Amino acid sequence: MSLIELRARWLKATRSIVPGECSGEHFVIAATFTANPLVPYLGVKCIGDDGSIPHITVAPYDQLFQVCLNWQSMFASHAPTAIVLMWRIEDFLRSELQEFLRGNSDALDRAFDKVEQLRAAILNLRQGFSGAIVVSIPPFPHGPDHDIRAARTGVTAGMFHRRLIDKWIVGINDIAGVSFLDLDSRQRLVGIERSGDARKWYLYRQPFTEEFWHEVAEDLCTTLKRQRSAAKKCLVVDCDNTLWGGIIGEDGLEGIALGEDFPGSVFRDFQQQLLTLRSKGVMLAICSKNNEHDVWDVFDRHDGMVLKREHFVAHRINWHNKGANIENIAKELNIGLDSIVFVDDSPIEIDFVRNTLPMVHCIQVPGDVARFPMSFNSFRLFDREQVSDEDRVRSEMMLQERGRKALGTSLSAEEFTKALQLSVDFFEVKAEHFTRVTQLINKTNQFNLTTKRRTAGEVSNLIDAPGAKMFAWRVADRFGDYGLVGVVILIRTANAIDIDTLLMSCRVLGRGVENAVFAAVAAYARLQNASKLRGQYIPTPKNSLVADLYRDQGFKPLGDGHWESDDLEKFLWPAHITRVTNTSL
Amino acid sequence: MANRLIELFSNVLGVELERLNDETSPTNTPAWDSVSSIMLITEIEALFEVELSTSDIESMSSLGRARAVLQRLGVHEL
Repeated sequence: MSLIELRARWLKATRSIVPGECSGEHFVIAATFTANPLVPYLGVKCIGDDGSIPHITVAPYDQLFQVCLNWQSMFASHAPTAIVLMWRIEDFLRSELQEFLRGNSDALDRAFDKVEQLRAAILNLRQGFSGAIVVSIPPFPHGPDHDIRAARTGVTAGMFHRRLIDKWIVGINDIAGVSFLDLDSRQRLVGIERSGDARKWYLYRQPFTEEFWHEVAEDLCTTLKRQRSAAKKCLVVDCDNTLWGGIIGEDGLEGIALGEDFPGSVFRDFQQQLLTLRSKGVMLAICSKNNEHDVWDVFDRHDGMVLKREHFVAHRINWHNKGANIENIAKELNIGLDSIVFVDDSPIEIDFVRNTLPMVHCIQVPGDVARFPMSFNSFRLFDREQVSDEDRVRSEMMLQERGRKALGTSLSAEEFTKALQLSVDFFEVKAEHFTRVTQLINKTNQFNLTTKRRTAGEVSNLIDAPGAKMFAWRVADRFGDYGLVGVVILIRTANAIDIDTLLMSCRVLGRGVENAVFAAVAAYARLQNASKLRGQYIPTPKNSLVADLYRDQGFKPLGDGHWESDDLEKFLWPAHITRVTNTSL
Repeated sequence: MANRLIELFSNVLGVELERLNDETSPTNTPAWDSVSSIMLITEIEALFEVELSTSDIESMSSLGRARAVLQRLGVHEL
């Protein structure tokens, strides 16, 4: 759809809204410049799957501080679900920048002070506001009195900009649950000439072109959606003409392209991209039609290979159809097909997988391979708000899992759980666990009783909420550490403890860990002098696994998915699980 | 005669076609506020494929004057 059509669609959509109807998403945009042209592009992109139209308010011009401090009264009629704050150096720090360029030595410090004041206001907002918060990284300032080409003099707008954004990014990263909208990278990608419109700046204090706003809307919409949806977890790649150029079975080790020269350099760069993704928690897997030993020969003997065998958590190198192979990989890794991305050079394979497994996201290597690394880079669904420790070591954990599987095949179920030597550490959630806990809340599908998604802000507010208690647990066994794998949120009511949220990563299912969790929850309830535990099961297409959990744990049905137990003594810590106690209950 | 310019004003301002004429201006049309001014310029530039100078934009103080500017720029199928 062209930009003009997008804007027309938005006008039409908003005209159909009944005045006074205030529900659903409400995005508030505040900026140090006129930001209204963003609205139609953001609005159209954020129309919900159910056709719901987000409400978008542009706050009065240049009122970032007022919005941070007074959002409740400013938007009393319809509480915001997201607040977006955009600032530019040319507006917010105009006099500081000009003085800096004229050689005033304390201008930079004064700019730092102002940025710190804004950071403090955002921290204040984060503590009171439970929705999503997005702040801009200011774009490079290219005003009439500071030349982008003046790199040789020591005092440049570029230096001012770099120092400022470094400080800004570090400062904002210290506040959990605030995302960035990177106007600087976006301006570089679109190009300074095509991003700015001097006429509109002087006439309306609106600095950007429609093209730029359209791209910003795309970035912002991706960021907002990421708050509530899971990132892709696994990248499945083909080998020939994907990991390297050429066909190993025909061209041989000497004939394939991989290394310092084109086209081998393209595939080397792609492998580097995969290695970076792996360091951020994306699991890598191979699905290719080859003789398996040919492929491993490249891994073991080609000196252009960036990736090693051990970087891959699974592989299907055979002549079966790729749909079945990918399904198999998903099963082995215990992940959903919708968290898999598949890359292949063959339009036939891509088409086949698209048709047989529509939930798998497919990327085809472009015909002109030189475009491949950059176009792959523009795919942002692997982005996570934050990378947790569990993400960084996910691939290692998958290898430990292989050891467990080997043990499992030789023993009975009961012998197996004993032989695993499980231990569980059940503890109260603290600020340092936010990243992982928020991740689990937003991506756990199967072992999740109520599937209530929460933003980082909502999680952080729960910590201090009276009557609410949030616990998490780590699990380890003789093969290694599973990390923080489960969360339970308990709400105190008159004489009972309500289990608002109970979820656990599927990595540890079938080990009896849930029995330990119920024992710990019951112990907490007794400590609180509660006489009952209450829970709820809200069915979704993915959580039938736990449909009978409360029944299995001896709860009595109250109807409508609600369950209750008044015998808190019967929940016993399982004998085969060692209890690690860092926090006593 | 079909009038693309009047349709454009009607769409952006949310005012029925028959209530628009050459005299329509910010002073007699509450919907023509500063935000819709920006939208009008964007849509005029996109629809008629012109780039307006700041003085063109400033002189578009009514629907009729917008028409005059476009005619001066050689846009005749308004």
